[in-house]
Amino acid sequence: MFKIAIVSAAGGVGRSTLTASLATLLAQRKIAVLALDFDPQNLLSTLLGSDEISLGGLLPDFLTKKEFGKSALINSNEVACLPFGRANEASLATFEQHLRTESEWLKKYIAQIDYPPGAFLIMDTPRLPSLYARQAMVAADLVLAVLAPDTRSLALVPAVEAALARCAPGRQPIYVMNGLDSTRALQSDLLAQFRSALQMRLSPYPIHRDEAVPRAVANYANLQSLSPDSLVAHDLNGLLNWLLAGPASSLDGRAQV
Amino acid sequence: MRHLLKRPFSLPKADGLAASARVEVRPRPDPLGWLAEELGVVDRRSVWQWVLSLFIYPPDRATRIKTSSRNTFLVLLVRTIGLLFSISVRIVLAGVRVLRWFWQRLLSFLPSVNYESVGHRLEGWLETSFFQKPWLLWLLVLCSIFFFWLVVTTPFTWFGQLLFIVCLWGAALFVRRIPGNLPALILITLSVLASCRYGWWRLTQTIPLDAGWETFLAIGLLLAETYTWLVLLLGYVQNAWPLKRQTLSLPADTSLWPTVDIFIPTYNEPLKVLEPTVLAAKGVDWPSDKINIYILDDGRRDEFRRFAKEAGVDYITRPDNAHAKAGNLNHALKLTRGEYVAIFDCDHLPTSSFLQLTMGWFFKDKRCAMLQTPHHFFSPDTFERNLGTFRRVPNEGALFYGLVQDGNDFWNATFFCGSCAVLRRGPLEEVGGVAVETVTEDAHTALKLHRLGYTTAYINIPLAAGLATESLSSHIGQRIRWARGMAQIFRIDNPFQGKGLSFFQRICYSNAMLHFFYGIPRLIFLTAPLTYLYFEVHIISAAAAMLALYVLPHMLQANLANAHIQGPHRHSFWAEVYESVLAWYIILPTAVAVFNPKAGKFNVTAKGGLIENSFFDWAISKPYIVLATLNIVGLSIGLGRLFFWNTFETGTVLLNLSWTIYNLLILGAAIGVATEAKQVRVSHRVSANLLVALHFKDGSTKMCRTEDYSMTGLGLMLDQELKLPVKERVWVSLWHDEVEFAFPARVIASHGHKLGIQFDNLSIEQEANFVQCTFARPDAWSNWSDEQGVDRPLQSLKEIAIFGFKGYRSLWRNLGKGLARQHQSLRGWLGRPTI
Repeated sequence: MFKIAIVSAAGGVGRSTLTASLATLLAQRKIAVLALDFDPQNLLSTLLGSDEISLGGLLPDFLTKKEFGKSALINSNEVACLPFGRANEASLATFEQHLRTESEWLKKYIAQIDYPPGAFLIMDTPRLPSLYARQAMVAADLVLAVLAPDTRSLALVPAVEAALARCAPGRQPIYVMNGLDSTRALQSDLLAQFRSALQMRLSPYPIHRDEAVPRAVANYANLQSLSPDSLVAHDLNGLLNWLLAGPASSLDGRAQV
Repeated sequence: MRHLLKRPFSLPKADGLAASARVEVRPRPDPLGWLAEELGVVDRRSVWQWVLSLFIYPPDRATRIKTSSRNTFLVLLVRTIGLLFSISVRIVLAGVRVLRWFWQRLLSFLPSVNYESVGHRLEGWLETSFFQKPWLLWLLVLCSIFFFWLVVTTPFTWFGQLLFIVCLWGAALFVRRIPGNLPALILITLSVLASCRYGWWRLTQTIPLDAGWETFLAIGLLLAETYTWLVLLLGYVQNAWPLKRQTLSLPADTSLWPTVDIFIPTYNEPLKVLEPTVLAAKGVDWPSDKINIYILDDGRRDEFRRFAKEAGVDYITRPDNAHAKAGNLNHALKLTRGEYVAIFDCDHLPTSSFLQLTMGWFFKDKRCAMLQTPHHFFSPDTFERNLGTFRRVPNEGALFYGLVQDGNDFWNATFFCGSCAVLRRGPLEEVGGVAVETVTEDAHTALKLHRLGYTTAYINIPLAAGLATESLSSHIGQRIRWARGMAQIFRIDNPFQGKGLSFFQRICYSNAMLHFFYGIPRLIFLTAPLTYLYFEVHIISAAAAMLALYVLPHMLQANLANAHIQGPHRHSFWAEVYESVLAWYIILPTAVAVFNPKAGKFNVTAKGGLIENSFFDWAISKPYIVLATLNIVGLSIGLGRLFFWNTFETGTVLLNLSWTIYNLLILGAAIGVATEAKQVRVSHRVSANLLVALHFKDGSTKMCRTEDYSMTGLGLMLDQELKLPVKERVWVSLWHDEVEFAFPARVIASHGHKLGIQFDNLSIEQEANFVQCTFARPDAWSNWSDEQGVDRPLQSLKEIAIFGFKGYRSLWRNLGKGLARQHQSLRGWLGRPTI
């Protein structure tokens, strides 16, 4: 299984949306995929088409000591999603206490999941610095850091690097820009700055801001089939191809099996 | 007569006039009248007109002009002749089809051969050590000379000669199917054999010896033939082994890369032509501290100075315009210091990889003084536009840049062509800068470099592209300049004299210069059969059958050999069309240049214009029309000779008749070129399939592909039908090196799957980015000629025949139109109120 952690240092850059989009695209290509919501906000299942906020999920399972992964939902696009589950302050405090003592908890937890070889696991996390994101980065084969086309993200690049270096020394994240509006000169300029700063570690396929994304979510529809010729659909395909050919190829779960 | 006299006095009655002014008078229903009007029958009583209208006239009412009976007669005449033409085209085509069917049946009886493997085996043989011994080589050469002499000079009977043809032809038909360069050499040998044999026979047996004007004409024809024979042979040497040089990579350390100055000379071209070139040059991939771009403005225009400042490039002017472009370049050479100079005409856009792909050779070969790349044109030239052959038939320049320069390169004789080239500054300054003595400064500069022992290189990859000349008259003007310049070099710096050149370099240069003297020989060939048809003068003193037996292998073998060597770059028989168009016009300039090389001045080739309406260029086509008329009269006389007056020498008549018909077809195609097709677009569209993203106002997007692009807009092809309001604002994104560039635009047309958009006030920076995404892409022109068909001589002849017929049809139509117009203006003049 190939594990990707989606992280970012700035908030509101579209981590969950990107997680959901990538998972849907993988499923559409007949690659088994599990989208794991490791964010107490518990929103990923909504983005993947669930009508209401999921009650069950990772946290309730942990508290009730149920077998891991049994609360996963599967949507009509064959995307499996394990929600975080409803949480209250007390349960969160307990959980976080546990995570603090056991820094590889998530990694072990994932290892128990019985999943076909060659499958992908995509983990959504809260914004850095975060206990959850740390766990996800430790567990992941690849850390995909999401950037927004603004100076905030540019300033926070060292924070992402430092966070990853602390929990997985010697590894570097791969970056992707999300929500680009290429008709604005400033954003294009910033993209160029990111390019020169990050070089090959920035995906050549920035994900554009596109009405097709919220439209697909609102219609409970698959972006790729609702607007196949939209720019964002093209971007996501490009990103995935790039990941599969480059960063994700050497670490491919298929090769390990 | 009475009717005519009465007309001025029979004014309509006042009340009738008023009535017709108020209401439209509706005639009574009259089915016959309606039918007559629909069919265009002018005189309802004439049965002949009814027959014509029902069965012969095309049923297009829009083009019909109501005319008087006299005009009807003229139009009728013109149309009947047009009809006869189209019928004869059908007959000829049907004949060709039948012949082809027979030929294919014949071929199906032959055993099949794997020509690829034969080619490899041939190459293998040459590699064996057996052929490497020098004494053997000399022995072979001696033997070949002996046998060559034997074959060329032995007289045969008609049967022997027939056998000779069949053997030679059969061998050629077999060899031409084998790929590779060696078969080309075999074909060349066969052709040289046939041509020399014809030449020997012609010289020794066919010159009429009785003095008089017959002999004078005969010698004229003989000289013309000698000229073509010489050019043919020199051409074979020149193109014997095209080098096909590959690109070399540069050292990885960019600090070793030299400094380069890019010169863009301009004189009177509009800014919109220069602008994309400068923006493309700015995008050329080279360390920014080692490249400088200079606009050399001989027009000294403020507009250009402002643009240069805005675009961030240097701007150079000089007080006078001495020596035109050459002087302009030399002036800039004095003010700049780059180790290399790249020159682009102001309408040649370089691709971003231009220097990366060319400079490698200067590192490898320290004596290399000049590297030339092809001149590629993304707009159709006159021939392509007026005959509709764009990207289908190789254009006139294709032979030179596709084959001749590669052939020259093998002999280290690549010509400098004035643009799209890189020169090393040292050698260029050593020869005194760009040559100023002739009007083709480029070729002369290369000659001077070669004389000093420098090498040159040619890379046959289009790395820059520009506009072709926009009209026939400007095309002719440009070629006149080339012809004059080459003739000047021939006179003042003859490549066969002077020091420093190798034998083969001399041959390459001589052939290039001799090539431009085709004016008179071509005219002789276009009129030679007429001397017999008009005056019964036998300028070749031989039996027609014997002449055919000798001349056929000469022409056939040359055609087969050239089709094999030049195939992808020049289709058979097209050279005749290209030359016939120019022949008349280059005679005088070349003659003047030969006798007085200092006479004449530099004329600039106009580009980037447009032709608002289709028209027939009467002034330019005068010589072809005269020649065609002479040939048509000759043809008619010839038919008379064939059936009535010269029945005792049918062979001779037939030979001259077929020659005349061939000439008529070529002339027809030349006349067709003079029908200038409409050219409305200010900026030329280049068809290309590029990825584009459309951003709409509501934040949604759509990916699509371009059909074509120009400096002002894009033609897009969508997956689904989409209706967008005209003038709707959109943004379009294009990619260059994985970097996206978005441009503001407006919709100007939206039909189904197609969308036309026009850019909305791009800034200079945006324009530069657009050029990088489109015209300056490294692979922008690499697959250009993929759609061109291979050369099939018969197919090519058929095509030219059709163009010939079309040319005459167009001439007839325009003649009809011209007559009608003249008639009208005459009427208008006569109808003027007189006091």
